[in-house]
Amino acid sequence: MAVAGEFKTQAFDLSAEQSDGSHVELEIVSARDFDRAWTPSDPIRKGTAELDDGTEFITIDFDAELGYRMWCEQAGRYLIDPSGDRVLCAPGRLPMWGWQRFLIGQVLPLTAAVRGHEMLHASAVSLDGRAVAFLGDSEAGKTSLATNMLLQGAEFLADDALAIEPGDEYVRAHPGPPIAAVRHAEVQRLSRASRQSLGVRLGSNPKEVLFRVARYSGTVPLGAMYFIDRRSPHRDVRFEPITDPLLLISSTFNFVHRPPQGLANLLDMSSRIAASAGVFHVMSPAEMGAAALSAEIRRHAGTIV
Amino acid sequence: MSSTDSRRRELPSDTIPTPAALSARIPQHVVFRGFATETVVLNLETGKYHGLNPTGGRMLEVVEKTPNVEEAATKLAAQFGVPLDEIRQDLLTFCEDLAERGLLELHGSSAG
Repeated sequence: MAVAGEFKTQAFDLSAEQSDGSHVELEIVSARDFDRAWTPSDPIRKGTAELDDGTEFITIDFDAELGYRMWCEQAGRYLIDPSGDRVLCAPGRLPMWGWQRFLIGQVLPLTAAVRGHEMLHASAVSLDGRAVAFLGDSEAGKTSLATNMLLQGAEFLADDALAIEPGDEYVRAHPGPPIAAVRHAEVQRLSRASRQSLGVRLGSNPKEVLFRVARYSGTVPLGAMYFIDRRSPHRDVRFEPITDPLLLISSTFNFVHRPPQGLANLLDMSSRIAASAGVFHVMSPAEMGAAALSAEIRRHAGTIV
Repeated sequence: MSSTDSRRRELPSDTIPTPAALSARIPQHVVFRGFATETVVLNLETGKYHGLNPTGGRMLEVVEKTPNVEEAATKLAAQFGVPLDEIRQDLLTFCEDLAERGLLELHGSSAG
């Protein structure tokens, strides 16, 4: 999905040169102009994210005429029109890379969903001509695995949200923004040379450091999906094939925008993945580092992709 | 109320159609896809997913492609190598169950 706009960026590229001419237009507006544009007649609260004390820091509201409004206390306000062709952005008080991380990590994935694209909640690399995706909960280390794979010679595809589409034989994975948000602990484990070769450091927040990384260009067939579980009681890494369709279906990034056709597409995509890609549980001991685990997964992926 | 009673109430005729006169159709708001160990049926109106075991999945595929339940039963009896009477009853129960969940429409005409 190409995006276009007339403002400075750090975290992604603004280029609308897509072969079919289709792109998302991003427009920066003031908070006042944004509030003039967002005057819903019948808004529906579609989602919230809360702090531990119950304070909302992200809300998503929908109005049939106006589209989706995403609000984040620090990152600002964003309005996705009902077609997904245009996004109004009223950035908050975060520095440029901060609000643009929210834009690419939350706003653009929802925009892609509105435009009919399917997204997996996964980080991914391209390895030997196939996409290898990592899934799991927020502590599973999806990004750490992708960045360690990158350091071991794979090519980076996406962090946290992976766009996919049906292909003739395989489901195809699309590269996302060239951004990796790596947890501080993982950054500390990397040597200085590894940190430098990972990419350009854009900034950090209390949880993670944001790197601009080199990214694979073009789509790639999805070869394998690994669901990471770091709580194995065993001392070695174990791989088990997954056959539960609901696990695949629930791997979607998008639980907000689900019209009937979107639900049907999700089921169809899950079925295609099950038929054409390797899907595995990876059980590893908690103490195993991302570098060692990514090497194990790389070995395993070499046997199937 | 039994599942059979429920089906009778939905049918347009006040006579119970024979399997040969009973056709089953998958509604537009229902889609299904096969996976390695099961078939997932999705009701787009409710957003609910329903799982079928491989036998149920095969039954649904055959029912979708045949004009009436009797023909479907005949095909399935040959495929599974079981007596027609046995699979006919299983198939009727299966269709009634899906119809109750809004995943299948049953249409009957007088046996004539």
